[in-house]
Amino acid sequence: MGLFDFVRWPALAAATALILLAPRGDAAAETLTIAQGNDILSLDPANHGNNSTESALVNIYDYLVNKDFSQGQLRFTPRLALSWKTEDNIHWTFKLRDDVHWHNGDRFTAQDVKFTIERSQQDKKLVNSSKFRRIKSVEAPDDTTLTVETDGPDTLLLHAFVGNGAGILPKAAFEKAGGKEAFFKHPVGTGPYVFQQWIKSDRVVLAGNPHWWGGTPKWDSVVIRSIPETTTRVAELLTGGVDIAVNIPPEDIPRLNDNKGTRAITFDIARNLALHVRTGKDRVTGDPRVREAIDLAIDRKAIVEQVLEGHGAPTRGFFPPAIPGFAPELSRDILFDPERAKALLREAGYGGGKRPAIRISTPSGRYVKDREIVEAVAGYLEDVGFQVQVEVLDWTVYNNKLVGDGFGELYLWGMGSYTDASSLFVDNFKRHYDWSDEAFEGLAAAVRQAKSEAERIAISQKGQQIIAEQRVRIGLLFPQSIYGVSDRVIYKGRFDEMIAAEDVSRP
Amino acid sequence: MSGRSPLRTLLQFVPVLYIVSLIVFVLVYLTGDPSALLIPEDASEEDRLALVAAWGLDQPWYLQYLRYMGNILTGDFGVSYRYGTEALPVVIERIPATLQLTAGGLVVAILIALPTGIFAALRRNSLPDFAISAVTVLGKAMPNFWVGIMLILVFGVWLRLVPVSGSGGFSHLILPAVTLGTGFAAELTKLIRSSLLEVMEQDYVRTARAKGLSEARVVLRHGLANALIPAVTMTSLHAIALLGGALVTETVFSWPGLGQLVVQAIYTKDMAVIQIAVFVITIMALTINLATDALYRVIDPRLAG
Amino acid sequence: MTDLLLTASPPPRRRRLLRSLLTNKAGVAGLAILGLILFVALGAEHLAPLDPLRRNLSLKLLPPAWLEGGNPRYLLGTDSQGRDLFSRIVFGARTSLSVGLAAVALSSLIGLALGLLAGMAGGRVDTLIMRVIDAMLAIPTMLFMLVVALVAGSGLLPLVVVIAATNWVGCARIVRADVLGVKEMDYVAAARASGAGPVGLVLRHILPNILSSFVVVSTLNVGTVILAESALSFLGFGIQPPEISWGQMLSEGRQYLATSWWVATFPGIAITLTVLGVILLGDWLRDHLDPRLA
Repeated sequence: MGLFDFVRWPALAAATALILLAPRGDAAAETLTIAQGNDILSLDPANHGNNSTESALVNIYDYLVNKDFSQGQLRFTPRLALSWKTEDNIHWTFKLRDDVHWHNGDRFTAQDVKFTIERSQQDKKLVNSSKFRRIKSVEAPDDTTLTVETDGPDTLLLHAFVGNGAGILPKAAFEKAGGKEAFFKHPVGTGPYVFQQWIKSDRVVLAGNPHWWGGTPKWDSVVIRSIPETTTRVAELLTGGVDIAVNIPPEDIPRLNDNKGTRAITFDIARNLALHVRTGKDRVTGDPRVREAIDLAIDRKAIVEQVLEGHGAPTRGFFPPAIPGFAPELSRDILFDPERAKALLREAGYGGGKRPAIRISTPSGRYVKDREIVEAVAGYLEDVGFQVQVEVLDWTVYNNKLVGDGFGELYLWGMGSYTDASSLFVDNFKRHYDWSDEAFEGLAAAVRQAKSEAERIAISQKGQQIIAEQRVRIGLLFPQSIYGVSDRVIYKGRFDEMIAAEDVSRP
Repeated sequence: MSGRSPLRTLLQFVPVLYIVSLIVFVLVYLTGDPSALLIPEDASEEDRLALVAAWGLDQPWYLQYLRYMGNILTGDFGVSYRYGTEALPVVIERIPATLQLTAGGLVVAILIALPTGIFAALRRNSLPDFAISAVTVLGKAMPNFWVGIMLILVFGVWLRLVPVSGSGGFSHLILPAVTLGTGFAAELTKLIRSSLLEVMEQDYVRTARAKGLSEARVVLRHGLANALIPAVTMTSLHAIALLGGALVTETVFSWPGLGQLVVQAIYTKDMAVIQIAVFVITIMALTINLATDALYRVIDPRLAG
Repeated sequence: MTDLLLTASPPPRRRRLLRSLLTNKAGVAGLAILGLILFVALGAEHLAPLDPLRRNLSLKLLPPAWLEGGNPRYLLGTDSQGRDLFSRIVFGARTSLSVGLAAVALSSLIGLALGLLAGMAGGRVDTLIMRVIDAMLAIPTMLFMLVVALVAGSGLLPLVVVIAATNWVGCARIVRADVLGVKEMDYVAAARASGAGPVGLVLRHILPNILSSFVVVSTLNVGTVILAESALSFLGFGIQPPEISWGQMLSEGRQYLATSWWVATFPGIAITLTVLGVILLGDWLRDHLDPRLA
């Protein structure tokens, strides 16, 4: 055997390897890695109520319409639906795109939208089963036309086609798989990224969809990692393990900015923090003067400055400015008057040795600085004479207590990912706060029948006024989101806290 | 444990499994109803009640339990509320990661304990001996999430030596394994040290010394042999403890093991997943016990039968 | 064994104990550490310079006094609410020790009672108790504690219950094994033959013989309990404000470890030191009280 024979096979193997492994002339494999604070709950858009889950799913599925907050107030822009019209807010017609394909190659048609809606309505086990509750019937007269009939004038219909539960699913693929369990093992959507793999409690892996109707996706692959421990998440960003890390504590902002290769971004989000108050007559907080004292005793500005390091806005309201129905008066002229608060307490019969005792409950780590904010509030309340017991609960216990109405006088709640202020009326005020008010109930009934956007907004604003005046809920602040971002990417954050890979670009 | 046939052990385990499942079921049931955690924030009370009815959660606990046990007998291990899929695969797919972490922790503990224990025995009662004991005990005395986070900050962020978190290649296993291993290393060190010391007092060591054989070699061979059985016992006990008990470490490092799964399942009151996970952990514990018994017989044939 | 036949009860070892304690450095160190912690816990009000609950947001996250930016009034710095860390650690000693001692006392009592019952009664009672013990051992400790914590809630008393409900098992097993061993001893048979009733048997003959391993296990358990409290705090349970515990402080402060490291580090050191002391003392006790366990 000559030298050539000896060398032939290794040389061939090496050459083959070199050819296969050589970087392509065009874009090398670019992966975007995002770190969330928890694992996704489900790949089924209709079966979860969780922001960070939806944030992953927006890459796989599409919606009929887009939420656009770029102009300051919510607008709807076309996505799978090119246009829509209605005369009476009861009968709606949507014109759909005809150039969309599912990840498995099937064509997208109006039948798929009809299927998605009816499936949600019929399967009561789904978490978002009530998403389309106002839709009485839906028809698909042809592949690109969808007609919807609601059970009454519904100016909010478009809101039902965005957010949790609104992702469109494929009728054919779903039925072929034989049910949701089989289908969601390898879900199929129309979005810019195709599902590859879900390693639970670790990561979701997506690959770019070469046939996406919106063009070539910006990234070859998207990895969404679950890193619940804050320090670990920040550490991953600092070491370049991830490109975007969510929910960074404000104290870490200088560290991120000083570190070469990373920076922190802050932006407004659709969320507010408020104290919810039990107003039953058997409680200390049953007396409206006591509630007013609480409202006046809290220095919201100082809390935003010192606890959130300025990343927020004080308010007595419940919906941030970009949400339809925002009540501007509630964010202006916020009074901080501890002297008046003390006077009110004296009026209410306290003073001397007698101090009103209240319990205020908070989760810990559910919202940024939730516990610290509540502890600060407790401090202010004690300053004007309350005797405050702070109760810090794990989120799961907290939720249970909420449903079982097991809280004390005050508890913290962060409402979020809403798209309209009329969601204020959904809550059962009698049960949760021992409160009812005729005027408010009248408004709650009227808002469902509102015939125009303006009418609905006006009713929502009035409702918030009543709540704020009577201090059934005491608005505290609108928090901002703080993300850590690698210099490898350009990202500004999104009002609804969704991280769509298509919104993240390279410099 | 020696002398019992595997079959008898297995049979004795059935009532244990049953009691475990009952205890777990009642406790989780007492923690409340999962529907509160499943519904979205803007859902109404009727929506929640509809969900409760659909899942059969409105039935009394003993009926729910009987239904669950009945299903198991037909091979239906229940559905996870959280994931909406069958509970069994959710648990099974975590086993490799859990085994990796457990093995990693044990290896780290042995790598620390062996040289340390030997050194401490050979330098017994001196300052280095005391110092070594104190340092290894530190590994046990420090809360492990603190250790984990410090390791991330020092070796991950500051020194950039290893990946910080998640599963992946071997390098991803290093920090979590060290975090776990240091907790166990102290006891193992102490065991090796005292086993070696015991041997050092023996006559045959003096005889060997007299004969001119290296003391160290004799002590090592007999000492380590002496340590073997208790070390195997101790290691097996710790391995079992690590199977489901590494949940704090898994959370800090985002390691997709059984510990994290069960914690999440407990938070979401995902009964089916909790039950299966506890079953699986119990069966793995049983397997480790059986393997340990077999190992005893291999090490010391006198223990057989 | 012959000397045991001749004596009614084991010989007193107290004087030998004291002597060997003083000559064994590790044991002394352990005792000293625990003594210090106990002293701090008892005298917290007098030792803490400031009110541990007084919040002052403008003074939050101050570094320890000897570092740049520190304030000599706040020796170890302040936490995220501006509270003095040193005072909080001093008061935390009280809570951590109380939880440790109370949980161990409770679990040891339960373990002792059930172990004695199982060992003495034998038969079906023993089998039942053993099965329950086996079942409890099969459930991973932390998970069991978590589930019980979800039921019991958080706070000092629930915490003690949670830990005790999990910890009694190890104690019960050892007690039972010891009882079974001692039961067969000749002097016990002799006592029984001379007409001693079951209660007297237990109190005068069984208990004293199992006491040593029981004490060792209980002592070492204090360390386990203190660590368990910090793990439960990590998971969101444990001691609630306004009560202060080291585990709570460590868990709250851990998100600042990279920037304001003192908030978590000093409570962490306190925990480590205490557990270290417990282990040193417990090991020494084991070496001297019950060589069988060595």
